[in-house]
Amino acid sequence: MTTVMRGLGERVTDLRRAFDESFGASPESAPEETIDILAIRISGDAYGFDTRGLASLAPSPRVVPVPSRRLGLVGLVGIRGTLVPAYSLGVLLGYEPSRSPARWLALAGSPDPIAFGFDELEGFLRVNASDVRPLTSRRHISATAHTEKITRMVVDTHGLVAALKAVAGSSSMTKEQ
Amino acid sequence: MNAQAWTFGKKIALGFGLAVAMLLVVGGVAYRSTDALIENNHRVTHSHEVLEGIGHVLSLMKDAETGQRGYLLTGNDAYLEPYLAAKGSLAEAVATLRALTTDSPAQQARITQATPFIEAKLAELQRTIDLRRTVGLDAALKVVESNEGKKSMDDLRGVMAGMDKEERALLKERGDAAEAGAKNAETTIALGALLALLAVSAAGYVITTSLNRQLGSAVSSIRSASAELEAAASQQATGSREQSSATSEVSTTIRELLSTSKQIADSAQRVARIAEDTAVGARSGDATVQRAQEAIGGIKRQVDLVVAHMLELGKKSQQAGGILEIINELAEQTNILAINATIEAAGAGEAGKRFAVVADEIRKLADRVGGSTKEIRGLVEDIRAAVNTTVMATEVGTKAVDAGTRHFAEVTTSFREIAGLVATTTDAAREIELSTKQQSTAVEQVNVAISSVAQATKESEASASQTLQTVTQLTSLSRDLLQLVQESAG
Repeated sequence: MTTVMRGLGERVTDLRRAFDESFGASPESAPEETIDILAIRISGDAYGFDTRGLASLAPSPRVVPVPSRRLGLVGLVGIRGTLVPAYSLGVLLGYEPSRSPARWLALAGSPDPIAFGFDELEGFLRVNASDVRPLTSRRHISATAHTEKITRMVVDTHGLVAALKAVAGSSSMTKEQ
Repeated sequence: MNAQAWTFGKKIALGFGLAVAMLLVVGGVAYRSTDALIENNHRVTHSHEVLEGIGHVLSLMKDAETGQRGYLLTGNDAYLEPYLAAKGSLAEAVATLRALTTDSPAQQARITQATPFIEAKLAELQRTIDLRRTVGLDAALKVVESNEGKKSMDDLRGVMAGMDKEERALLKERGDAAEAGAKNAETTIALGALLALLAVSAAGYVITTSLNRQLGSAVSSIRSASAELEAAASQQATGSREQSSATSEVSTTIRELLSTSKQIADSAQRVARIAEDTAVGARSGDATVQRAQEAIGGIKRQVDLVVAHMLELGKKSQQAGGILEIINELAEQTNILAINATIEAAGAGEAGKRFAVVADEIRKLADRVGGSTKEIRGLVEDIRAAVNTTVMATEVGTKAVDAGTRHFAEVTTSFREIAGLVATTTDAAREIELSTKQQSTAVEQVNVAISSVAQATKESEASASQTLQTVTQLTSLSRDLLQLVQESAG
């Protein structure tokens, strides 16, 4: 009991010191060019979003299901007063549809964003640009990022958004005709 | 009922009773026979009186006829005296005869039949007398010669002869009955006397035989008992000698016992002293245990207080866990905001680079907060686990304290019981001491009593010798009595 309390006190002291020091530290000088990756997992496989292609990240959204034959469309979701179509990123990448609703939504594309749902958010990674290598052999994957002994697939958000919008546009034109 | 078991008195009373019963029977029969004989004699006498009455009537009639004849022959009134006397007595004689034959209707009828003949004869006699006196002899003889008087007299004689005959038949019958009754009484008395004699003789024989047998058996038993008594007296004499020897040994043993009793009394006295010391120690131990129990009670209260504090600490740690959840949530939200800020900054291009730095710092801080929150949650969980373990350990301690309290209570009770038992032991030791002293006194008394017993044994030995002598005499006496009985029986 005493050991636990002592450990807790030491940890609190460390946190306070780190917190205080963070304000006293000077800004990093001439950092190497980096790319920020939002690390996620789909069915246990490591993926990532290039944050430059994302609009925002939203937790636990309430997706309203809509009947559709579009691949991966799971419904509509309200984000900051705007209705956004939500797709299952796993289905779009060729995985089986998940039975539970997605815990996270990553929005991409503007001015009309599209939401990509996934279950597991690993965190925020900052990798050197040299560790990110383009990949064209796989659909909807733009590159691979090598971090901490793991090769992570970087989702091609621009391509996905363009493809989905293209499909949506063709279908709306078909309806107008 | 077993006749063999009867007493002599009963048997003798039975014999005399039988004889008296037979005498009573014979006497009764004799009395009845005598009574019947007297009755028959009365009847015979009565028949004689009737015969006499019949003869008297006929005699009076003859007297009357004799007087009439004398007067007719002489004319002298002096010859009329028999006639007048008979005439005056006839009525009474006939009445007497009628009274005597009231038990026989046939005789009464004959008297009634004879009465007209008597009256006719008397009338014929009176007429001839009157004719002789007034007319003369011839006139009177003519009446006589008419046979009127003779016929009446003959009829009267015939009736009287019938009466006489019947009465004589009755007389013979009554005489025969009297003779038969007398013979019957004689036979009954003779037979009864003979039977009584036989019964009394048989009873006497039976009683004598039985008495001889029983007396003989009793005398034999006495003889046998005397022999056994003789043997017993011999054994008693031997036993008395052995008892005398044993009494000496007992006396020696009792002296040793007396010595041992004194040693026991000394030991009991020492035990009593030790028991008193033990009682003092037990009382002191009781007080010590009492204080220890009070201390245990204080520990129990403190442990209860600790348990209460630990439970409170558990609750507080739960609350801290809740707060940590909020902090964690805040950190996650901050992290998301920081990520979004980073995204926005990246989208802003060059203008957002400085903002991106801040957002990165915020994100790092949020990451650290999240990590720290997880660590703190782990620590809080450790605290809660430690609190739970401590509470459980404290509860075990409480139970141990409770058990200790109970054990101390039991120890206290045991000490009290020990104190009580020691007091009892002290009392018992004192009682043993007292009892042993009393026992010593009693043993001394027993020693004296044993000496008396030794003296009594010697006297008993002498008495047994005397008994043996007496029994020998009794055996001789029973032998003589048996010979006497056997001789009398033989």
